[in-house]
Amino acid sequence: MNAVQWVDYGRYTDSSTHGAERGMDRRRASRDVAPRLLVERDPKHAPWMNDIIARLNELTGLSEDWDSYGASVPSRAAANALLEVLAQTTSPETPRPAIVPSPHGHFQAEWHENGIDLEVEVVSPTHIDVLFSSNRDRWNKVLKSDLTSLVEAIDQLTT
Amino acid sequence: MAGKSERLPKFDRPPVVEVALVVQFPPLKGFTAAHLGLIWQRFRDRFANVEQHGPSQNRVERTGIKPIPQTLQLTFGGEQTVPRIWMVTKDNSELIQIQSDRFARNWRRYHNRDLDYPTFADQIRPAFVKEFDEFRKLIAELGFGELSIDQCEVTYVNHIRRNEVWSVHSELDRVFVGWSSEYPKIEDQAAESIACRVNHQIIDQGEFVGRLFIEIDSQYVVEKTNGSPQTDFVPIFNVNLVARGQPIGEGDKAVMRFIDLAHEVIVKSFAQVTTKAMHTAWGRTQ
Repeated sequence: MNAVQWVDYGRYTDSSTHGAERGMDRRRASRDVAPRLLVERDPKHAPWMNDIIARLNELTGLSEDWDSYGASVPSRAAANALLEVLAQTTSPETPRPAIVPSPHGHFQAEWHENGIDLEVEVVSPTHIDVLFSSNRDRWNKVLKSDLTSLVEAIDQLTT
Repeated sequence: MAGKSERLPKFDRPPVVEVALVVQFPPLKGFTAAHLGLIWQRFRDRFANVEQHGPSQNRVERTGIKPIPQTLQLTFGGEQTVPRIWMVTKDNSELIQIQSDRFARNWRRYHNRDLDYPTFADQIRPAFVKEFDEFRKLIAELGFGELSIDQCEVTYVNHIRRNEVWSVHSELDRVFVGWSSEYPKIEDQAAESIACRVNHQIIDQGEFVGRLFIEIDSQYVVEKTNGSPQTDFVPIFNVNLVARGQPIGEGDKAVMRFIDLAHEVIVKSFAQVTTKAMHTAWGRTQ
């Protein structure tokens, strides 16, 4: 059974040894989560987040060569990378994306809503391929740490 | 590098007690505790002692995202967590931290206040460059390929001890410019403990590259005075400055470009947020 943990965003990591030497390993507290999928709905996150977690869990169980053309197994790190991007860029009213594994071991989230096609492939936490197409605009960008254009594109799905 | 150091604030007696230089990378697929043992064998001549700890949580700094206080991470049931090891020198002042997605090089002096701060330019930076290069080559030898660094981090931990400038924690205004002497007593009681958190974005040539985190906490260190059976609880302010962000540009120098920028941001901001009275106490020379 997998678990989902809340991770404080905006805190630094404990690279220092201060505190750890005194047995105050703060990181340990965040691992003590019940071994179950997240079921409580947090109003800050979209209602389909649990479904996405289940889908990611399912897809990380694929075998090597799952597409018969030599595809790699989607990694758990890639699952977390996609989950974090979705948590940071979507709203409760964002439509649910389709989650698709890439043959290179990553994940892609896709929306096809209201005349908009949006594909987001999270190659790594700092390499996010975004393809956007609508009646008025079309662009393809690789985003590193500034996700402004991705958030704006996702917000258009609900306007 | 030497030129840049000459423009940064300098103190004869800086209150720094620990410095860490860190890089993060995607988890190495198939990395196990056995590989940690092989890595220690390569560094053991210099880092004779080893400790085991739980892994640190990695973070990626982003901008333009929703203002949520927490994000989500999935932990997979049945997955064995590979620990983090500290490889420590015999005198306990230097260590390397290794886990499946992180390398850190630390200097510290909690255990020996008489140790001189070895300076970033002269010792801390060159040691990191040398040993991280060694680590990268070893990782490649072990079959994990080339490391792809996605975040870098510089941490400075400072212990600001009670001195002629301040004596109780409610006098934080004498140390930190962000606190006010006008902060009142409540029901005639002064503040007993104080914690402050401030974040700033780090921008390089108009582009977001990371964040600076400043944390100030009132704390105590436990000391024994020579010859006395008494244990003293000495008040301090623990001031952490952490700069974390992406490598800047491409190629081999991208990691050090961020680390050098992070060091500069930390040193300058530490001088900006602390008071002139404390600068005098620390022997500011530049």
